[in-house]
Amino acid sequence: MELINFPFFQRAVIACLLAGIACGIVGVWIVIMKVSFIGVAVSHAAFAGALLALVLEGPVVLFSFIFSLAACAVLGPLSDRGQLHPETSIGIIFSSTLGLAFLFMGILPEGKSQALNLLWGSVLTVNLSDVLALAVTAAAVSLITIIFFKELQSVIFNRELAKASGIAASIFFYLLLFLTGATVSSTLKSVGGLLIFALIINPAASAYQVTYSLKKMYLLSVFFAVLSGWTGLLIASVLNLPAGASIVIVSSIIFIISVFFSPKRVMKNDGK
Amino acid sequence: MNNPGIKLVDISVGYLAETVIRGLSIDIAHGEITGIFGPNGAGKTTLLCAVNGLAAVSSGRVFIRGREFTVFNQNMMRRQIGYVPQHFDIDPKLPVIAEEVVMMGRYGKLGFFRFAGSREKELMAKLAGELDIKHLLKKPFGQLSGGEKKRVLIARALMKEPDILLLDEMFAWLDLNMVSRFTCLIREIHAKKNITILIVSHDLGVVESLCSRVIWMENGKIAFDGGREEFLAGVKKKNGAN
Repeated sequence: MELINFPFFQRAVIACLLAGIACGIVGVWIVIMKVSFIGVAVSHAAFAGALLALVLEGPVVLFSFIFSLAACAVLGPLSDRGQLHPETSIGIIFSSTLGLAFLFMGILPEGKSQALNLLWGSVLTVNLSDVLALAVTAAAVSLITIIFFKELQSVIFNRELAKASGIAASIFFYLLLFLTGATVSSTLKSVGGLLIFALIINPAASAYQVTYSLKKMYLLSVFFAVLSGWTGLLIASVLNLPAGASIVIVSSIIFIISVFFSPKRVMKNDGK
Repeated sequence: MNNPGIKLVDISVGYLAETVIRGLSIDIAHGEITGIFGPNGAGKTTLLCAVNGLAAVSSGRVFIRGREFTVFNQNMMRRQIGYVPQHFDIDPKLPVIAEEVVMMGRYGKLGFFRFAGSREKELMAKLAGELDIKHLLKKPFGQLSGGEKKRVLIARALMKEPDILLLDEMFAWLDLNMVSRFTCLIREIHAKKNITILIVSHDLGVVESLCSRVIWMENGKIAFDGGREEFLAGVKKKNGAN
């Protein structure tokens, strides 16, 4: 385990911790509100933005953040007003952003290795500014969750009833989308555009299987996300595998285990 | 009107291309209990949602306690309106217990950076006793029966100690015992606090037990608006003729 002495590996360990905190919390909102389609579309939009940054030689995190926000700005009102069925919205945004991503990949002046790094992720190459962006995102997501716990609980439980209670439900819904975009953008480089969404959904979906308490779900989701990150990183380092893919596979295994041992599954089998 | 409750002036409400309510006006004094009846699709639930702004009013004006309901004051206005929806389907696995659902009704009124204290907990305990949901409070909300969920949602609506209470099919899912208990509770709250209550229902028993005024809706318009006796006499006459 002499790897831990290398600065690049230390940064990777910290990146997994911070990405786990942000993705774990954001995943709880996405899973409970059942708006996975938004997360998928946002992560692909972020990927397209990152590729444009490579084409224009701009900052990757900033471009992916702008693209993911743009996707949120389109998807949020569609979802909020129920004007389009979610599947229709995701179909349009997903295909458009993927098309843009491949377009930018096609016109990349140099080799495609940088683009592929963004696609698959490369946690072992994150630099200090990437870690800083992750730290800011994780801190913002955590603080907002703590400060507005009761408002967010109402909104993710049921937006219509939250509105009826006098809570600015639409503003909080857009805040959740904004933070989802920020999380996807800052995690893109470490986990990858194709895999980031799994790290958001799998830990939260695992936590959803094992508790009826929202507070515990937040904590378990973060725990599973960090565990996935560190275990995936370890496996990738030892077996020389892609880190992003290893992280996602570990999170999928945790989900399968949680479904198998879910007390909610036992209750269903009892016929309750 | 000296003591204004709910005033709708020439409102139209629709969903996408379909207009459900057209040019409807109602003036309800504060403290009235009004029943809204009519066939399916008449616009009863839409009318209720126009009052608390959950349905977008495309034209016309809505006044609550004399103040106009606008996008700028909608959250403040909603804090004085309790609302119990007709349907409420929820994933049984959702991580929320009944106690939290009840308390959420108070969150808007509490405002930012404040959490439920002893006053809120006492109010919840009182409502839980009155609605017989004390034994349900620690259970996952999604696993409650339809009637139990309804009682929890009624407690949630009452948690904000509203000036106006909107009840959509409030007796749906409730057994006879709970119908009787809830009717008494509504009468008691009304007598103590003189709140305005709007009840959407298909049950004519509600008219006899609670309503002082009845509005009959058809095709998004008011077909009848009058007192309880007048309405019941009309119903009897119609039944006799049939």
